[in-house]
Amino acid sequence: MNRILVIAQNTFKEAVRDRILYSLILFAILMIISSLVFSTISAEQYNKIVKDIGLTAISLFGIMISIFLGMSLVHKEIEKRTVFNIFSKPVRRFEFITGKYLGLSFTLFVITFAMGLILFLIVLYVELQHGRFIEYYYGGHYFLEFFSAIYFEFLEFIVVIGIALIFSSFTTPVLAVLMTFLMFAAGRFSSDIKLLGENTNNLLVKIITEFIYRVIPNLEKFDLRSEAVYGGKITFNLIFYTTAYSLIYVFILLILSITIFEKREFK
Amino acid sequence: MERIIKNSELSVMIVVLLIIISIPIQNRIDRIRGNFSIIKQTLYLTSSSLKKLSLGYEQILSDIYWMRAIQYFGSSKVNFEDKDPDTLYKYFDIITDLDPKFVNAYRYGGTFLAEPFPAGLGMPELGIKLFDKGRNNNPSNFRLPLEEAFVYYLYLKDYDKAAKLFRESSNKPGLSDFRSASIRGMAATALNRGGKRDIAAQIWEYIYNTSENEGRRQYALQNLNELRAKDEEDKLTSVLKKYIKDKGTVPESMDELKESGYIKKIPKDYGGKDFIISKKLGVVRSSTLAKKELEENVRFYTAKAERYKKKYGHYPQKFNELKEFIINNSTFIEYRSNPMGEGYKYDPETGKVSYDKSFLEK
Amino acid sequence: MLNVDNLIIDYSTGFLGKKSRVLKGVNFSVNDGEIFGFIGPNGAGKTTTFKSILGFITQVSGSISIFGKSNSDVELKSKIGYLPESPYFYDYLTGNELLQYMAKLHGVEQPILSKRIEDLLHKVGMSHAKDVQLRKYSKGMLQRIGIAQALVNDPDFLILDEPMSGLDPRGRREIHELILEQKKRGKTILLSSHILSDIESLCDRVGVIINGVVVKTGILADLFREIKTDYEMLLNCDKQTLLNNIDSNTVSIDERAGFLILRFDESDKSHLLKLLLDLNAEIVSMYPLRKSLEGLFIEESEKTNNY
Repeated sequence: MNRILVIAQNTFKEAVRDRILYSLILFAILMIISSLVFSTISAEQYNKIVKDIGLTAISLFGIMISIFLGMSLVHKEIEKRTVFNIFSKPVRRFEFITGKYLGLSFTLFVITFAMGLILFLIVLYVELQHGRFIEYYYGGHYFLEFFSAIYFEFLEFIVVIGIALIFSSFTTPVLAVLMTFLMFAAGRFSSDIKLLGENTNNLLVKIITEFIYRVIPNLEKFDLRSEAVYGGKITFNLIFYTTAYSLIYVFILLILSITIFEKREFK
Repeated sequence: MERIIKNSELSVMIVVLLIIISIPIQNRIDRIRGNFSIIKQTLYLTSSSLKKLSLGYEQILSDIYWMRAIQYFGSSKVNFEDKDPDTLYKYFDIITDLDPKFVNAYRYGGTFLAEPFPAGLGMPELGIKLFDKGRNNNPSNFRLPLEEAFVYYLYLKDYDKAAKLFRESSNKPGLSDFRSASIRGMAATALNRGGKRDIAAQIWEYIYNTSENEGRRQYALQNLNELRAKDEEDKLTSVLKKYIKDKGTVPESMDELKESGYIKKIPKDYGGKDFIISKKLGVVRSSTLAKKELEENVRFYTAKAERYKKKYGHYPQKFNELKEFIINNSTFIEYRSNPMGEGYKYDPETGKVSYDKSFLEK
Repeated sequence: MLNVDNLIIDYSTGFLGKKSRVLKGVNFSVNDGEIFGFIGPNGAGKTTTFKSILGFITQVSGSISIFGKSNSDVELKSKIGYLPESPYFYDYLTGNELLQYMAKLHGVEQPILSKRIEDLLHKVGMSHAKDVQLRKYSKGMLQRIGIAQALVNDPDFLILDEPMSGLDPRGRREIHELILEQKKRGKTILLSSHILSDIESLCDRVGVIINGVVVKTGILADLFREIKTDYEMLLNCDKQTLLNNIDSNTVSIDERAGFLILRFDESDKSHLLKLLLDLNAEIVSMYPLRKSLEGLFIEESEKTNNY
């Protein structure tokens, strides 16, 4: 257990010293701040614009970081041959994978938290300026929904990291990014896939779409961005079940990664 | 743990087990979040490709379209004649496909489409289409049926429909008892068709009180002034009719009415201008209001002439052709006659409609 | 300590996975407390053998045991220290951070951890650069840090792949001392190299691997005694006369700067000397060609080829 944490700690250190990470974070923050500018030309839809742009920025860049850094988790160690250093110590394969995964997830937790805080300050500022209008037209400030939306985006990140981790365990970086992105897109299309199955009469298509809908993680479950603006039913049950859903897929993806990685040889 | 994982058959079995466990959890979440299939169905049938491309970022895409629409249609640099109602409708259709709960999009778009020139695009039939979509996607919102009722009442003059929508709005959640009752009152009055101006005044008062936008409030105020002016016109007209009945002739000006003792003093209208008499129609008109109506009508016709040209490639040869075009192409717009009873001047070369200003100078 | 029994390893190369047999049945053992040198030409399979000892690649057949247990036991690694063939490290870490990371993976705890790292840094001469990021290290510095991380858990068994590579003469001497010191402490060392002087001065026994097979193990001096020595002679003589009298299949004749250079082996030495004396040739100088690992390799290759 201790070794897992040691590896996680090192992974976090590596992420924090990665220059690409900082460029992406910088862009995200710029986008968040730009929402203030856009909100002034949006004909009174201030809070909607700020929340939409801000939450999208966090999600977009978080997904990018998850895919790119997730992809390099295993691949970088193999390419730079540092796996020899690791596995000449009494480290088990599953400890390595788990440690790397936890390290990156924690990195994303910190990033999401920081960006969420910045966005919240901006939202607060907008609310103070136009509170009455927002209350009137949107029905409320929806702070609970707002924070839930950010938390759900984090739940999505850790699933995407898992997907990237699997592909990074056995393919080249380019393919890994591509496949991860495709699976991410499929995850976001889930309900369309389901609808396709419902609207068709072809039994084979029905079976295939149902299968895809059930097996591929349904990433739409983590989208609370609309509720953050218009309000919605955020119950404890919803948060609990969505967290459970995310964690189940995290386990699935970790187990698959470990299984693949056990067979890996280091030449 | 290590032994379990080294055996890959076992780990595949565990993975399958976990997927099976995830299914009821997924179902639970679907039940809680509710109507995802209803909303997504409308999306699936309309601008679905855009929604698919946005990969879960529909909100921000709808914002981008919104800002584009605002910039274009709110811009004073773009000629009014170039602001095509069909384009506006399409923009707002996309915006609300991407974000069906964007209530303000339906309201702003629908109102802008419905209101007459120069405040809006004068296409109330498109406006109500947008409102209908909004009500469909936001069944618990009271503002959408209310404002759609306004459009029916003020511009389409369909009082039955307006009453129905007023009633629908009064039943929505989130209204105080007082407000709900007053809306129901509007429904009743609309149905009776009596005191039309009372409701219209109520409507503009409501808009004046609830708008944050200063420009909109000014607009509401202007409309209220016009309603009051019409009341004054009616009063003066009934005096005029009495004079005509008594004397058998139409007076030349308001001064005659005063001198004959029918009115105590000659009032100025809300614009500070005189009231004038239309010989042809036998009514008293406020010159400020009459001028405004003439200007509006002229712009309306000129814009319609442009639409004619877009469709047929040339301006209509005669004014009557233009009239026919207008009547044939919209079920709701009435032909607007000259408020002073005179005709319009039309130039088929430039498609411009104008009026004889001398009638206002009396 | 270590026993490798009939190790066979295949590599699959290319897209279709064409298999090539890299180790064809490697056999050797390393005894407790000795320094064993694993020598062979490039591509013979030294590094591959080490990697399979450490479990990085799995064998087709054969077995490896360390400390009497199968090498698949992960816990064994806590008593092993490994220096890979080229230094491969995390370039964003400093020297100090790397050692800390490696030590923690071994479960080394405070206060032993800090003390040991300090000592090791001093021992490999890297104390001055401990807070510099590894990406700024020279090859020699990386090599030293590599040795330090191999020692961070005070292992009983050291496996060093080319420990002297990239080091200047002073560095080589330091590492040399370090290895001998570990032996004095009772540790066992397995190292690979193709520099003869290193092997000669350090190793108790050597194993020679050529083309995926260990062809010989034993004491180095014994091995050399078996190979033939070549001689080279500088001569003043008429070339034609020489050619008439000497079998040029066994003796090679060259010209350089007016002299003739003869090359021949031990078995031809005495009869050639007698011949040259009879011909009245002027012998300027004669010396044996230096014993070299290359010679050993070539000799052994020829033997293998003759099978």
